[in-house]
Amino acid sequence: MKRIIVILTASLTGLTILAGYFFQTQLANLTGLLIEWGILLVGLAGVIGVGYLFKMHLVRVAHWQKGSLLSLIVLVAFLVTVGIGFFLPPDSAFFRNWVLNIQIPVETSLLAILAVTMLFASLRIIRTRGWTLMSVSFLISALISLILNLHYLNPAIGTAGAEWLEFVRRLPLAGLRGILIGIALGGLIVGLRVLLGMDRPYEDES
Amino acid sequence: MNMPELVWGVVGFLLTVMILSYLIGDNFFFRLAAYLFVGVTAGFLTVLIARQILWPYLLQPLLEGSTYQRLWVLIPLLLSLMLILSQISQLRALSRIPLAFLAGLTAALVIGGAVFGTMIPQMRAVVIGFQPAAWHTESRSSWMHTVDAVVMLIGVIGTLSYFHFGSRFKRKTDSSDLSRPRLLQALARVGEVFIGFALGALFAGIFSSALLAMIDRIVFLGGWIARWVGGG
Repeated sequence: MKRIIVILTASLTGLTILAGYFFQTQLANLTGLLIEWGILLVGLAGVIGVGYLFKMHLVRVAHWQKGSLLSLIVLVAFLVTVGIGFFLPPDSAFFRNWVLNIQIPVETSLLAILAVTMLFASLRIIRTRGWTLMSVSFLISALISLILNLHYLNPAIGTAGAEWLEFVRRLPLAGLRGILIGIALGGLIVGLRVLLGMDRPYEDES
Repeated sequence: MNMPELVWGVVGFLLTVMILSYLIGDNFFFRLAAYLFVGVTAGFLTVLIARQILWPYLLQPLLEGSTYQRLWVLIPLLLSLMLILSQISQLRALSRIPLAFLAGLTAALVIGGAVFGTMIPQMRAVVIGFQPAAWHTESRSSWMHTVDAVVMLIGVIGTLSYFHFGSRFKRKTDSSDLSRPRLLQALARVGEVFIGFALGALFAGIFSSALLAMIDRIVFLGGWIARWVGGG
């Protein structure tokens, strides 16, 4: 009985949202409300996740385990951010500065490290995968795309050169479209399986 | 330069050096900056969720709303309580209903997004390439449009064939002999090339962005060092 209620909850919610695509005006309020509840639950799940992170670092600090100094930094940074965020008004310049002046340098520097990592990874691809059709086309495409991204090649509009350049630029689109359609097909099948109760990710397997 | 600008500039400089120090190997300073980032981001996320989601969708209607609004909030309140209480191991089963609600909602949104947001527009874009009426809107010649449309169609079919893992059971030969149809194999080989092209272009895009970020950081560090050395 309990299982039926749970499956019905998932199916009815999903079917109502799906019906909303076809009866947009009639069901707009109901689907809007369901999506609001969904956003609320996702937000709450996020807070629970942050709570677990906090608990994990707190335990590490309390037992003075390895890496507890770094965990202490996480806890202090978290508490200071939450404290500033709740006590200062939402449009506070200090809160904005505190968050952005830490996030932006770290994120940009991590992206910079990614450039070096990607360069080495691309050179390693031949060593690990060998000279396959995909690895060769990957390298050729990456090289041509990098050259095209520099915008040095600018033939006059209407010339054969411009037409070929446009053709080469559009060539990766074919594969990307195929990949996107494949992902969509996969999403469609998984979604239908959940709505029909064939897949039940909400059930505790333990 | 005023005091706050100087302080935030120094913070940015130190964090950049700490993160970039990873290039010479994993070290304490890199981890220090990374853990600080995790703490600040988790705190920011909490404040953002509390201010943008929990307050307007749950607490405000409950505390300041009309009786009608309060009644409507009872259902999400109940779902939220079930989700929170399920963190206690004895009450774990309570999470099923809110998670089932979320799974159903997400599945429906994924189906809608996949069909109306991806499959129909992408298939339309492939088919529309064969429509001569659309060719006159661009400066390219008609034969180039035809070549483009045919290549696009072959690429899409090839890519989808590459990800097709269905196989044919051969009854006459060995019972364990499973193989894909030959046409599918040929199309999959074509698809392999197109997937390589697509991934290569994606790689180039991400690599260019990462390279720009690296240049930005180097310029930032150079600017700060020049300011200190120059005394400005």
